[in-house]
Amino acid sequence: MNRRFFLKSVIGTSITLLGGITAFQWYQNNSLEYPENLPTKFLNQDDQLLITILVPVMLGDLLHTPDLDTSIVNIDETIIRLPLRTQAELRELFDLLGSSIGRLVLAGVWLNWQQAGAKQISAFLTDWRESNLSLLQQAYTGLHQLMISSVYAEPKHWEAIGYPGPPKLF
Amino acid sequence: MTIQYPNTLDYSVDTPEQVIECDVVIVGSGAGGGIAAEVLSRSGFKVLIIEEGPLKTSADFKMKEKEAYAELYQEVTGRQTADKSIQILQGRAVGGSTTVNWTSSFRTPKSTLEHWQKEHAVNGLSSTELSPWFDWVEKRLNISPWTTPPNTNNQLLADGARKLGWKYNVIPRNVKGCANLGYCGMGCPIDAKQSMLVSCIPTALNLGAKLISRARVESLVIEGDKTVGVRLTSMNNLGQIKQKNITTVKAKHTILSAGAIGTPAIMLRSQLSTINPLIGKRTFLHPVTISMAEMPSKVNAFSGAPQSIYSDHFLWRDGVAGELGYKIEVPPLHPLLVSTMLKRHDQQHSEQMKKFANNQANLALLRDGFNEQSIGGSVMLDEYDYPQLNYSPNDMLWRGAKHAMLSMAEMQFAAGAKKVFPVHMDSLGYTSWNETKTAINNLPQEILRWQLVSAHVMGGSAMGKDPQESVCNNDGAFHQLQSLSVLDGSLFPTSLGVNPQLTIYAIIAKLSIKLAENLGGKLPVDLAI
Repeated sequence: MNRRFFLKSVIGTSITLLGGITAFQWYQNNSLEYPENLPTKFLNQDDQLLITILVPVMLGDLLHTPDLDTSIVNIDETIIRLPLRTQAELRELFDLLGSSIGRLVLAGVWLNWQQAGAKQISAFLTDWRESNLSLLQQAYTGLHQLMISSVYAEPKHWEAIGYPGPPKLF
Repeated sequence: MTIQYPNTLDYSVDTPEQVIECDVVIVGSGAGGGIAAEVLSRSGFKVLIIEEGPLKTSADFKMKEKEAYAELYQEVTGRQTADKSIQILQGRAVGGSTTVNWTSSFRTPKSTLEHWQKEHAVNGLSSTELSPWFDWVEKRLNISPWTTPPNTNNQLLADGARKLGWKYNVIPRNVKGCANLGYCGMGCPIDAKQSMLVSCIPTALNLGAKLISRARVESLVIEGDKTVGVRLTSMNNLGQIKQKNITTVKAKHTILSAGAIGTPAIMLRSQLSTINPLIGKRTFLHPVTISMAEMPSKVNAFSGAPQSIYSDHFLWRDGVAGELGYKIEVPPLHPLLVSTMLKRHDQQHSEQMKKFANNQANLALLRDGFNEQSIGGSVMLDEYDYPQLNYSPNDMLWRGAKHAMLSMAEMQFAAGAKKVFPVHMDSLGYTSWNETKTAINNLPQEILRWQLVSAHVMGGSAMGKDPQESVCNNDGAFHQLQSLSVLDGSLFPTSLGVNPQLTIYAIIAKLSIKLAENLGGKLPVDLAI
């Protein structure tokens, strides 16, 4: 079985567990509206949407709300510096996620995903993290690395964790 | 005084010449290439240095993780082994990893060099024979034990070791006028760290050597049984290929100093594995396992010299060739790296990040490659001709990692930790040594879940007497071709058991002088050892 098909079927199962069947039906009956997107080099509209959904859930309770546009730019700037092999892997991952979860959310399945939806997304991430399948664990750690670093790279989140930032030299 | 960098060309910007001629082309400007560039320039040769990373200097170093990781590291610090089990922190800039390392400068352990002689037919590199070269480098790069009191992160390692009656000592560092800032990993903003970037590279350039940055060597140019130069590919400012094979360099001698992943990659792209199948084999990493601890008061492990105390109590715990021994040190803790190391999400992540300033961390680097079960990894090329390292953690490595994790946690409790967090996806925080001991003994020894990192890539072009057993001879010359040398850490037949920079400096200084002599150079007086 090729890797792509395998990953797709596994993700499909996860979606079903989240009640994805009705979600898909809902999605199919509704036209999609995308938020305004940023001029990124790697990330497409679906990817950007996915990031705006996943970043707040990944990061948990922060003192300051993460600036999602900054996260999108940071993630894009990271990915375009990675080897082409890694970029291809990430493209595959984002495409599969974009065609499932992102659209479910966009389609209004989780209208208030910041509250109720966030819990489900968090549980979904936990499923991947605890999965026996190394592909899903890899997907988790890959997304984790990109999303977490896109936030803690930014000075506005430093004070809350007791990091004063680099010393002033002169 | 500002350091001058004359004779440099940035291939991401300038239109390159089509053919360049020189006496010696050196591929890579890190610990190996930097030393070789100084020695050969001072011996009167026309030297060209090729570096795939950018030329960034102290004026560019702003002590910010986001910028530093993107500009100065391979794959934005996310380089990893093929199965994603080990994250590899490796520099990619002029100066190589010496531009971003934490300055720890140890002489090679005598036992390691004896093992090389006995088991790998390495000659000429005994402690006695290397001693004058260590002396020379230590003077050249101002290496001496750190006399300023250690920061709290390091002090807690010392406290733990002392309470348990374990040996520990002060780390020698290559610094001059160090302000104890703690940002060595992002490039020294005050030129205090005596990296290749501020020492040997500018010395070579001011003697007339040329440097091309943002250029990658695609392959060697080989005529018959002789290497006659290299082909260059230009890179853009993102580190991606701009134009392949844009320039040919004609050189009387070619030196590969591209590190233990880059050097084998060039040889593989040049199809040399057909004449020497050992290229890229036996690559070692000093796999590192980490234990974090929450201390009762602030540690501020981002501030102060990153590494100043170490413990070798367990480095030879089962003899040289037995179970894997390890060296214990600490890593500096900055927000971005720590946040990605905590592989959990949502509130579990944010709650732990709130304790960031109270975190202490110990690391153990495992001495791989000293017995038949510890065979290291192998460098391969992917479908884009880009190197990838296969390295599969095995039972022996897991046993070593577990032993090390137990020792580090015990030290942290002895030093007063409230809670200890082994860096593993299945570990929670533990509040007592007994609880931690049980937990560590039960942590799954599985890739990804047991988080391993490495900052030391070695081997893959091993030196030795026998062409059937090694890639290069004891002078670093490639066995099967003329006019080709490897002068970097990929020559090592095993890992070292210490942070590698000083070993690379000393061995490469010795081998470079020998090469300069063989090529008919005029040896500098201080190096006619």
